[in-house]
Formats: sequence, C-alpha cells, structure tokens
Amino acid sequence: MAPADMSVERLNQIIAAYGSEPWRWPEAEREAAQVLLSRGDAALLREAAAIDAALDTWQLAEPGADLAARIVERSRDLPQAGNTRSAVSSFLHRLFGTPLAPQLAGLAAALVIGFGIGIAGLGPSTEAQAQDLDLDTLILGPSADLEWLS
Amino acid sequence: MPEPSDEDLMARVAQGDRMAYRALIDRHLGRAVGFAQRMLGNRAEAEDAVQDAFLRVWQHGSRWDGAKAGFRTWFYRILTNLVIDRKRKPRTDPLEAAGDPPDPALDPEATLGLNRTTEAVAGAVAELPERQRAAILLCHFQGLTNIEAAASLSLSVGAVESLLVRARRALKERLAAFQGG
Repeated sequence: MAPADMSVERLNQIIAAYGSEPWRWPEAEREAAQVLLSRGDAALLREAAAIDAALDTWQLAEPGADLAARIVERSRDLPQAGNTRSAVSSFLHRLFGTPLAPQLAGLAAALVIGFGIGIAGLGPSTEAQAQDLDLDTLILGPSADLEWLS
Repeated sequence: MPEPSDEDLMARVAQGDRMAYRALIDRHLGRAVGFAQRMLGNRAEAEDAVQDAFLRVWQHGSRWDGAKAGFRTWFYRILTNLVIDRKRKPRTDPLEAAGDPPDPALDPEATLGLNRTTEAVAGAVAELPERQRAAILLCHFQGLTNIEAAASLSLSVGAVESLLVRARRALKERLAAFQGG
C-alpha cells in the first residue's frame, strides 16, 4: 500500500489493534503506516506502548528438557496416519515396549500387508485396493478400540 | 549450513523421522507452553495440552499441507483448539496464571513492582473473553502475523483485528484501574 492510500484513521486503527511496535503491524500496510506515523494520534501511540510494556513483564519459565523427551517417547506408541511402517512399529512398541529398528519395522510392515492381502483374498489385479486397506483394522481387528489412533 | 525450516522438518516428520520431530519440538516447545499456560492459567495443564498438540503433529503430519498453511499456523490451530477444550472444563487457578516469580537476584523493590505488574497483567488477560485472550496472546507473545492468527483461530483477519482492539481496550481499562487502585 502506498503511503498516500492510507488514512490517519486506518493508522490509528492499526495501533489500537497491534500496538506500538511497527514489526507487529500488518506487513502489507507497515511501510505506509510508518510514513504516516508523525500524523497519527500520539496519545494513542503512548497508550499502546504502555500496554505492550505491561504485557512484556509477563514472562514465564522455560519448560524442562524432559518434556520434549517425554513427548518423543510417547509418540512411539502412536502410529502416523498413512504411514504403514509407523503403524507396525508403534504396534510392536506397544507390544514389546522397546523401539524397533526402522528396517525391522519395514520388514514387519511388508509381512503384515502380505498377510492381510492373503486373508482378504485379494489378487494382483486389486493391488491398488489392497494399499487402501485399513492396516490398523488388520492388526487390531475390526472391534478394536481405535480411539488412540485418531 | 542453514537451519532446516519448519516446513523441511515437517516433511521429514511425515516420513516418520523422529530426529526431525524432536528438532521441531525443541524449536517450538517453550513458546507453545507459554501460550498454553497464559491461556489456561496452569502449568501442568499447559504442558499436557502442548504434549497432546505435538502428538497430533506426529500422528497427522502427513495430512499437513504446507501450501495451505505454514507449520506455525497449523500447530497453533491445533493447540488453540485443545486449550479451549480444556478451558471449557471447570478448572481455574488465578495464582498460577502469573507464572513463575521474577529472578530473586533482582533489586527487591523492583522485583516487588514487577511482581505486582505481572500479576495485574495476568489477571487482566485472564478476565478477557476466550477469543480476545487467544488473539492477543497469539499476536503479542507468539509473534504470529494477523494472517497467521486469523487462520489459527479460524476467523477472518478483520475479525481478529476487532478482537485485538477490544482486548487492548479492556486491558487498558483494567490496568488503569490497577494503577489507580
């Protein structure tokens, strides 16, 4: 936006919404607003700066490093949507409680898919359909509680 | 070598790369917990909400479309929804909303003043309606742009701007009352 296209009213609206610091203002209007700044409402700018400063006093402690580790560990129980290897790996992790090497998980995934295709009686001509099989259902059975998967 | 972008990391996360997942968590965890704690007023609940949000990133990473939304926008949309769900369950502890006290090595008088200001700010933000609170926290503390905040809150940019104006007006009145009282 060119500076001439911005009204003082719009500048004041930007300050009222986004505060006194130009880097917080909408990118598309920032340059024009800064050019117009000397014509804006000085009292409004001071008020906005005071609110910004008050908000900035509210600092919080960083989380401990163990939280990130816990999240990663927890993810080992959870399969990824659309990732067959992940589904098998997380299932086996839940079963045995240890991380599975990716290669082993891949092999297990291939075995399970093959087993699933055999059970479903699908031939080579329906390979595309086989890839759409719900592997979780194959592994856990149709009545399994799938809430943790969603 | 430049740091991989969030989007690069997400592409690897979608393929099951836990190193990329950990890098993404390390990059965003602090701010995410800060957002959740300021929304919920409780550290333990905030950490639970952030954990849930990151687990959804892991599970549904393949569904993320970088062409539609940046990682930050997508992540804060997930986290905001989870936090609002938790907020609607009955649970408040205004004392914890102020967060941890400032460094005791600071000048005692300055610390006292800072504590009081922080408590007043935390209290004033806690009294804001949910969407105003989320908007001001996303834009001020998380540094989201107006467009990112709007997408995170499933609102138009104009609606977010209106929430911000009302939030800052309310904060001004409440903080003025605190200073006057």
